[in-house]
Amino acid sequence: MNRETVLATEGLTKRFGGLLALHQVDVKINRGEIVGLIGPNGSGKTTLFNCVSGFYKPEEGKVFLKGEEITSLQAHQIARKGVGRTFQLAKLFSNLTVLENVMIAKHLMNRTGFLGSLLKSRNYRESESKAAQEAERLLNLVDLADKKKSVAKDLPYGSQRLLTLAIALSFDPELILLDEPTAGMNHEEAEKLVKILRKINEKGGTIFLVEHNMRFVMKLSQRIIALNYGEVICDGEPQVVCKDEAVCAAYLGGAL
Amino acid sequence: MGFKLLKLGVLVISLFLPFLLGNQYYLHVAVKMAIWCIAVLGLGILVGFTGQISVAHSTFLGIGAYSSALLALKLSFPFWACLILAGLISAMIGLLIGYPFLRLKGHYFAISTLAFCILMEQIFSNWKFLTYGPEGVTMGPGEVMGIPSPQLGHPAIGVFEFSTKISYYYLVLGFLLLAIYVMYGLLNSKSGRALVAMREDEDLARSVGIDPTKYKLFAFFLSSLFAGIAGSLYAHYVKFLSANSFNFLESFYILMAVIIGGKDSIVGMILGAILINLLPELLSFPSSAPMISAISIAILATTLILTIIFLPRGLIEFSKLFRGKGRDE
Amino acid sequence: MGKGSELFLQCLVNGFVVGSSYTLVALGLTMIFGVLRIPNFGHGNLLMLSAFMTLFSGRLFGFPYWGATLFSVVLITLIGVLSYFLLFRPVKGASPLNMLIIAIGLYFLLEAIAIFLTKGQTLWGSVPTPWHGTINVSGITIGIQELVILIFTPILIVAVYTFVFRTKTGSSIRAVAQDPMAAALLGIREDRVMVATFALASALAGVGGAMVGGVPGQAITPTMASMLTAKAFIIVILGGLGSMTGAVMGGYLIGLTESLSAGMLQGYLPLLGKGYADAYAFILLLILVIVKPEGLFGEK
Repeated sequence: MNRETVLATEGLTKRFGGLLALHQVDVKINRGEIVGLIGPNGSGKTTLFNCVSGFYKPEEGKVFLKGEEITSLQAHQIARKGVGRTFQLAKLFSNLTVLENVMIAKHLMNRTGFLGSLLKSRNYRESESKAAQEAERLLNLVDLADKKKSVAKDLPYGSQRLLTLAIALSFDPELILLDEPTAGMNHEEAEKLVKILRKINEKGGTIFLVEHNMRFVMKLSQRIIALNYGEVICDGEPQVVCKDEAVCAAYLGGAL
Repeated sequence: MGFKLLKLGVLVISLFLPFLLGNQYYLHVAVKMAIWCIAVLGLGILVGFTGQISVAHSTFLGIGAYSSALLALKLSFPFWACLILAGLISAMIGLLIGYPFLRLKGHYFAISTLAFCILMEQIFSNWKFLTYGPEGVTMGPGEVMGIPSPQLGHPAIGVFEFSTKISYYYLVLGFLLLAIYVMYGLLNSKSGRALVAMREDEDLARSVGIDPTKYKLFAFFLSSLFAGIAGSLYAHYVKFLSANSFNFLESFYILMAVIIGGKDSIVGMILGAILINLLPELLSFPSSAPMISAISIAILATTLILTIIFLPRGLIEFSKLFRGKGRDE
Repeated sequence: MGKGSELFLQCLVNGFVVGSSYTLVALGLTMIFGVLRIPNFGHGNLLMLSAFMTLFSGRLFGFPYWGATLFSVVLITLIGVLSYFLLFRPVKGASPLNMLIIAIGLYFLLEAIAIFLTKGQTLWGSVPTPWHGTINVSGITIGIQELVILIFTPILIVAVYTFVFRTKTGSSIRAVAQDPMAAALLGIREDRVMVATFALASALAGVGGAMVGGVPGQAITPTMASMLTAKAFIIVILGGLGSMTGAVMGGYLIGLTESLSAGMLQGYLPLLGKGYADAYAFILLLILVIVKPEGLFGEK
């Protein structure tokens, strides 16, 4: 199978003072895959995400996006190359409405300059309405369309997490990194999320996600990577990984 | 809806203000207040959008004032050219120092602007180039005298000079309305939205492709531009400049207006500007000059402290109680 | 002794005198910042207010210089501690930026008090001291009050160091400055430490004000400490926030720089000379900002 590698890391190493958070991590995510990242608390999952999306700079190693090295790029530059992400703690533009939250990224793609928006030129108005339409479509996808005028901070927690997903998708990225998307969700909401992510994947989106909810991640992922103490200890199909000795040891603390 | 009506009402009052006041002194206060509003809006762009506090705002007023004055006096440029150039010079210098400064966190940024402000004050008061006056008059360092009034028109057709307080009031009001229009436009623009996003959550903004440095610089640029223009309007009104009008204490007052009025609200900032200018006037009657000074400073300082502690978004929050909204305007 | 070296020594002496007042304010400021994380811009005005108090208590109550000084120091210490309770304690944990704004409010409040005290008169001379005149030592002139400042300040500094490094309260202060959580776990009452820090810092400023106020020719005005305050801030940052040694060295260094360049470099370069003497601290900071922004994070 010769699929294009969307994301790859080589020897990624990250230190915080004396603490080694990531050690020689090699990861490959291919186009169209849904890959889960698991591991006990503190194993470096979020650190890996932060290194790959430009929020942390690794001490050693390289990160490649579609073959191009992005290790030294800044977070916003990596985002512009087509990488969307969510954060462990739901981050939102709290005081803006749901619709506005999703339109932020769309506005950036707007070609009208400052002067144009000042004078409310026709260009401006056209791109505004187009952006609003696309934003609504996105909200439909995550089933938040009926709440589009609500202020983000007033939403229930589950809806907020769906909104963070919508924000991550708002600029049509090819790859999305989801950090614990089901945290705080109940069973129904998690099932809804599975459907949404499958739909995104069908449309060609590549998904890399961190999860603690084993059932969710096993069901959804085509492949799973397991981390422990900053190192990759297993990488393969879900059934294989969950039976792997090292993985079980990591979670259960050794003796079984 | 009620609020919109109020804003309209204020607009109408401001258009007819000179006739309502009837007193040259009050008109003078009104002119100064209008110029101040433009300066406050400028600082508000920086504070409201980037959350950074600059103590150098009066310096940019000074840069605008001196640039405009000297272009008019030494190069005989017409006022309108002076104004625009003064604004641009101020904005460019803003970009220049913004670039290294904006990398700094919170209070380090503020202190760096303090250093810049004091340094510039020294330069204003010592640089011979900036001193200018009519023949035979001894000028103190950093003083500029005899700045001409703005003129409209061409000598061939007819020239209108903004030399009366009333005419100058309308001149400044025009620019103030323009400034307000630009600010509302900013909110709806790509850059404005990026700034609002950054203000809400900078990391999230970065994750959707917003370059924080670029937009912070843009905010600083605009902020200095406003200050430069306000400075120019000031120079051609009072017709005399001295370095100590542009010290960090002045900056503090402008900052107070922004914070007390409301750093996230255009209406709030203007409210703050009006309040700070009006307070000494309101206190005029019962007490003598230094006492007014003491009392108004004390009131302002106390209000500042109470505002930051209890109402971080400024006094304008009170209006929200009547309207039940919680958004930027 | 050649004219050049005489001038040099004179500038040196003047620099130390000027540096003394910088040091006294900067030392207190850095302690407040180190322990409480508050950029207390109002601190410098305590010195100004102290000068006023010394002057007034002398005139109103007929206190001799020593009595007036003691009176002011006590009063200023109380005001400082009061400012902690009323202004800074209620917002414990707020961002340094908000604290800075509150501190600016304090700056103005103290200035307002000073203006109020003067009741409209603007011309105040210096504080009357029991000694007058100047002495001349091998060509170097120094006023007696200035000599007092020169000698007494290091004594004060040593006293402060002794207190901070040798007493129980002092080590509590250092503990909280290093790690508030660990200090709390050790049973150190954070509140007490903060009050102690404010008290100590204010007292230093108080003494500074009484001394500086006594310099003949010193005009005691509500804004006399504005430049001093700004410089002390810069000195604290240049020396490292929370670093006592940094504040002391920085204070004297800036004083010397100003004095030497004003006295000796006039006319050599356009940006040097008397008019720009005040600017050096700020130029240094700006250079530091541009060259090494990380250097500004040198907290102890």
